Amino acid sequence: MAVAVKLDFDNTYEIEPLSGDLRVSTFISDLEDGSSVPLRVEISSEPHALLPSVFNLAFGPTNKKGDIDDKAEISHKDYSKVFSSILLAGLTYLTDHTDQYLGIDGSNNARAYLYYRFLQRNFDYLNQFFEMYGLKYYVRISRFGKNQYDNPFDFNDVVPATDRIRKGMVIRSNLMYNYFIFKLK
Amino acid sequence: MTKSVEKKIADLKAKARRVGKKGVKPSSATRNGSSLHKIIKTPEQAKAFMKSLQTA
Repeated sequence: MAVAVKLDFDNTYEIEPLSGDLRVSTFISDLEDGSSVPLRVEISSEPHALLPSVFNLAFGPTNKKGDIDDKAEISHKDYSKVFSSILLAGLTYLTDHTDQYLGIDGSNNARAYLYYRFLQRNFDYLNQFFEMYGLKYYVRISRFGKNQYDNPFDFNDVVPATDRIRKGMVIRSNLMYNYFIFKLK
Repeated sequence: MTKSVEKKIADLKAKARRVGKKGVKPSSATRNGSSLHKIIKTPEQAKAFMKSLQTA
């Protein structure tokens, strides 16, 4: 996947809303092999039960069940245009929901690192529109076991920690944020 | 925000209005599939998350 993405909301694919509330939209992405694929952008219709202002944003091709496959590996012809289109759909939604946050999961560490590179590379541009945050989860170490096979981590005791993403922040790929959050400025 | 981006947003909203209420709904996977949904399970975690978000 290309890293040299230049986000520009003036250079997007033609986005077609599939719902009147802008929670579901689609656009056609051209692929490297000359074919094209419809990509769907979805904003969850219900927030997290405990977090009423945080909504998940997912994107990707859909599978046979109609669910977004965010692990699909596709070679897009123009990654700049793809990600500009996805974020424009999110931006448009947020202009009607100024008190809400949109969250994007990095489905794996490599992809999360790539998203972070995109954010940093385009920080000045995105910073005009969004407050951007990165979320990490920390697991408690209960105590070290008596032998080396005892698991000291208590995965029922996880603490979330959010950072405001700032220009130039360097984070190693293996310590990358799990979740990226956007709010309209 | 530039005038051209404002126009793109306005055009997209106008298209959405034409879809109206007959449109599709987001899938349940989008609603519940995030790491946030899988990990934040208690009110205490949610409170800690919102606090860290608002003070970041």
